[in-house]
Amino acid sequence: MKQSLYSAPNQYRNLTYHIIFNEDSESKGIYNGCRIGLDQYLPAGVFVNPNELNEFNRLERLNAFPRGRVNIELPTEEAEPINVFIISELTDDEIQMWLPVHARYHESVSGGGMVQYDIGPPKMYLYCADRRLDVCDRSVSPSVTLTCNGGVKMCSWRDIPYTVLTDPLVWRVPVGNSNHFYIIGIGTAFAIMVGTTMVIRAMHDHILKHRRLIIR
Amino acid sequence: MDRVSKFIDLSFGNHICIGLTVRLVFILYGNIHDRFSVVPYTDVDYKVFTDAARHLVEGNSPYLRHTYRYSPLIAYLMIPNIIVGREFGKILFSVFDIFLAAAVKSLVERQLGVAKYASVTAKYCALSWLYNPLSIGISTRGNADSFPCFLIVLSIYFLQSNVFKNSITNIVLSGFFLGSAIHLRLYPLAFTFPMYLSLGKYKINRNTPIKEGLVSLLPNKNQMILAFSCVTSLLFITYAMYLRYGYEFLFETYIYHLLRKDTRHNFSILFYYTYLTKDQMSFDIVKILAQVSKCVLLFLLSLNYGCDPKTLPFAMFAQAVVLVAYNSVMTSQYFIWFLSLLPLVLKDFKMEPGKIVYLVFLWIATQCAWLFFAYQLEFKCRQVFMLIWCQSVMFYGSNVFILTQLIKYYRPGYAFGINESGKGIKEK
Repeated sequence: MKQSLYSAPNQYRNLTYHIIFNEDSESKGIYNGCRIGLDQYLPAGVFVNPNELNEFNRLERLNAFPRGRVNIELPTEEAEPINVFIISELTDDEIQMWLPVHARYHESVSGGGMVQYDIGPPKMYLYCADRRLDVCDRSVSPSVTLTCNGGVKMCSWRDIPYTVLTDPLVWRVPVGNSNHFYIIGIGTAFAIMVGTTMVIRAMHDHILKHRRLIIR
Repeated sequence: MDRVSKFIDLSFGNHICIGLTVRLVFILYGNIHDRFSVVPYTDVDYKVFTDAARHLVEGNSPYLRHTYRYSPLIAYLMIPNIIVGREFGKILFSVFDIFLAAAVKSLVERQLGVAKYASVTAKYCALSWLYNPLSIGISTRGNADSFPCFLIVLSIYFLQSNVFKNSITNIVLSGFFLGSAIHLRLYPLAFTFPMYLSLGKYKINRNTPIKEGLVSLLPNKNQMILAFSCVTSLLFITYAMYLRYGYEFLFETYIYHLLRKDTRHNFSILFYYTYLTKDQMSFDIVKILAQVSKCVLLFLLSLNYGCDPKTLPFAMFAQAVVLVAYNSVMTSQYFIWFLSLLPLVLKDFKMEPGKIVYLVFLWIATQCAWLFFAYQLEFKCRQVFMLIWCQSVMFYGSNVFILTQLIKYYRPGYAFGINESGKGIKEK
């Protein structure tokens, strides 16, 4: 599997997965008709937007579900990590999958700069309705009960070991500079005082002028 | 130009039909756009309202919908989205837009009285809302803010127009609509003071004896009726919702917004400061300064322009600008707070067209500059917080500058300068 964090022009980040089933010529297509599931762990600083996922699901461009409740408004310090389950049908020995992700705000730090969120590879599961995977050694591919297709019906998936060809992902996100506190505080206060004074002055001048106007 | 002239000269009824048709076309477009695009045309909150309405239809609380932070009345209004069709709410908001335009026309006509140019001026004011791309976009995207804005204009309409021969009925209705608007959104609370003042007869000058001055400040019958009607309707509707949905209603509709700590980037001048302090300082001098400044401006605008019924709409418009500019969180949807009142005062700015273009350009340019750096932060993950703060100061500055210019060039009765008598403002 190759995992990457892709940013298309004018779009948010997508986690992308390029998965190749290394099979010998005799077993090509052996998984066709099965379902692949990726259970992606996201650290507290990264989240998925459930409303956005619903839209993608509705348009049948994605089949992904957060496992748990997601509060998209929380900063990193108050948020919890979350797992997202991405499902796709296998029709070939190679598949591309993706997941739209967003970064939370992180509290400001001295010097500002960037904060790093590490995103490891997901757990991979396979489910075949005809139970062809029952022949697999359970000590190597244990069974796990997970949602069949995002609904309430549960199925028995097999945990599939695989080789990750890419390094763990690192997402660097800008963070505010707490050293700016005084300059920002003083600057904001000054701007507000100047702006307020300008409006009061404008009102004063207008009222005075208004009273001096006479009928021509 | 000829064609534009001929188009504007169409009857107001024709314009109403065209305005409604344009909105229906955009609603249809939005429906098609949302089917194929990941970035929806429809406001994300519209889905929240619709989901809340679905819970109501199922006999549950609308607050089962996560992030539904509005009065249950909005969800009740959206019930036909479930029963009739998903676009009902957008059509309803578009109809409110049309009614608002009609109310503006009628109100401006009454303001200008028997002047020959009254009807033409009023039509221009109404058209400025009817064909405003922002108003079309807001209602057709399903933003519910058009509903409280409509109620506010309706409140002014009944306050200043003799719709019913009995003036008390007009004032009661004005108070009712104002109270309803406050129930939906807290910000119309600021309008209560100038509306109250506009019903008074204050003849105070430096020679007025103190006793006489104090007596003239006591509320008269009309003021008491307005206050009573507003408070009663607000309490009645709010208490009814509280009885039905309990503390959850109070928290989601009001308390959440008062205690809201949103440190994510937005247009507000207070954004970066709030982010750096995590909005957790027990004594925050900058926030206090902002709140005090806002209150002082709201008070002075009420005193200066609220006491005269002719200038009441301007008082409310300017107050709305201040409320938005000084808010700790500022997003585009708040712009409708003052944009919905602009048609009532647009006719009274004695400005050269070039100046108007310059001010509009300034407002848009400072927004675009902010959006550019926000894009850098959100999509390119660049460290631009300081630049975003600078742009938010610039945007605040442009809002304040534009407001000062509008105050400077405000001439009640100017009526786009088509006053044939050429008379200026009467000296007080």
